[in-house]
Amino acid sequence: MDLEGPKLNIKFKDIKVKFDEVPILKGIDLEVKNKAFIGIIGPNGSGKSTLLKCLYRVIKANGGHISLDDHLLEKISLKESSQKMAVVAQHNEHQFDFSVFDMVLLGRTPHKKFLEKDNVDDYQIVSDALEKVGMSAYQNRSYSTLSGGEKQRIILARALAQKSECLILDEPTNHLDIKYQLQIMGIAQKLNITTISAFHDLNIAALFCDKLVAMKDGQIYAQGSPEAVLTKENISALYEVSTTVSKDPKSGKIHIRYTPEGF
Amino acid sequence: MKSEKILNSHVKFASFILVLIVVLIFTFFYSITMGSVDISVNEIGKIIANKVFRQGIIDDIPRSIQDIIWEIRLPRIVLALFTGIGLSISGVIMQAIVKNPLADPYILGISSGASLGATLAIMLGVGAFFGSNFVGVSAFLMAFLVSLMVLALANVRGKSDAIRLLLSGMAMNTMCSAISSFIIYTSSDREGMRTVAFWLMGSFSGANWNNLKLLMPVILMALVFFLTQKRTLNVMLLGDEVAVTLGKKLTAIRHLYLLLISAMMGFLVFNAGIIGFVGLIMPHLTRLIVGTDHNRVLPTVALLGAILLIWADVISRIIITGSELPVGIIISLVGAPCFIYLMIKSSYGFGGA
Repeated sequence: MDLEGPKLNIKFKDIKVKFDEVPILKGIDLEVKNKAFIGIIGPNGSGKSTLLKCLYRVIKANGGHISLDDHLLEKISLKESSQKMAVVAQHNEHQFDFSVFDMVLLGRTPHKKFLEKDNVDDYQIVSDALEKVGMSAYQNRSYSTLSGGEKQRIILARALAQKSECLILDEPTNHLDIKYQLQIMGIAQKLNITTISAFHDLNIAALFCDKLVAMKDGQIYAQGSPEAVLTKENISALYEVSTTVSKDPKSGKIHIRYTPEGF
Repeated sequence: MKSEKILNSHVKFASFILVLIVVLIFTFFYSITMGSVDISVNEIGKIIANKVFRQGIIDDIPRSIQDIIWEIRLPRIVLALFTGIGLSISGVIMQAIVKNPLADPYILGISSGASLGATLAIMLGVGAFFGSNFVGVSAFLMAFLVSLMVLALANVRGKSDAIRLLLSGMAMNTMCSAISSFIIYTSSDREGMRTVAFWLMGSFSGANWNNLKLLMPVILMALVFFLTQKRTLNVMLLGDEVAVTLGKKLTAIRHLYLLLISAMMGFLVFNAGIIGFVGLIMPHLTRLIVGTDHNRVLPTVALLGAILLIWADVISRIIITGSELPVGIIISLVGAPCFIYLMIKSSYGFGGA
């Protein structure tokens, strides 16, 4: 099957997921155009992460199909899909320690045949990936000694080493301080590949995304440009929080201030 | 990393492995000369060359010397070597499978299964129709049976995970030990108790070529197989979810590994009884030296395990004149303090990070 080429369009068609008969996703239709930066927002339990996990194949949907370009995801081998999509997820703590370089080198796994050894090209790709996330100086450090923000940058480098056409960010910056949140999203944006990311921070989502998808109760509540989705009414419906939404005159980006009662 | 630097570290690792191979060869031949009868290296060389390659004439060497070398010393040393490889490799794989640094090959219930088999055989004569080696055979069968039960238990209600595997192993371990203890407690056979105890402590004294002919290919095949699995093992340490995003589905692979380890451990128990500590400690010792990457861990651990067990056997033979200590005691007595020393001295995190 020829999946080569610079383009990657992703289509979700009527995706349904149930856990123990409780519906988590109730039929999601979504199209992600090549090189778009898509943000998925919504309250806890709205199904953001489940949707992404269906895409990166950790969860199997009970109904519906996902297609990469014109190929059904379930017909593609894991190896092929992992060449197409790289993932940075939330938790990246492990019992066993790797050196930073070895950890990033594992990102080359999808491209390796049985018994194929890592070669000079792989090492170069790893060096470049570390360079891109600004962690070149750390390559001989052991992964477990790094801080949370540094670890996530290493995992991002590992995803970059996969040389995929799509990057999936499953809330990788949740527990990081604002500097690293902005840094990781900034690195992802510069890659100029299809990126799908779940967000908790609406201002950060507005800053980086071309398109936002708002989810509520396992369904898509609204989608479109950040301006169209992040309205006072939508945010109130999604999060039950009152806000003032304005446009930053300098950047033209949406800016949200939270205005709960008493303020 | 600059490519010269990587090349440099490859060369360094290759030389390290080469040194270990030389040490192993030296250990192997040196250990043959150790024993109550002095035999020259020259004679040993001639005998081995004659027996293995049918080269040269050894009629000038007394028959008794030939037998000591070929029938007594060599089988034990070969058994020690293969036990070392088998236990250390199984330890590494087991720790990767359950992603837990405290795991060892016996967590599948193999040790207590084997003890139960041996106890049943020695105390109650179960399986006497298997012939002269019926104790070993029932230990092997029980060990294999119990490990299969542990695997099955871990898979009840669908997905198995590391925790379920560990807990099922623990539960089966406890149950088997309880039955063994019950049999021993209610028995009045003192001689039998001593035999069980000796058997459980592990020993290479029962080594013979007939059994080795079966054991050697099993261990060698497992070793070669796992050497082809280095990348998968690395990914395994990151967990199932990350593995999927790197293109590997681990469920079936894990079961294959576990079955292979069960078979390998069953054969080892049959030949040498239960030798603890090696499967737990050698993987850690190896990671301490070469890091976590299985490309390096697997060859290193196999060589180190082989060297360690041959030396342990030598010590167990010579430490008390005219008698021999179970090799398991030596390993724990010498190994534990060395390991504690390393633990205090180094910054290695033992997986706890």
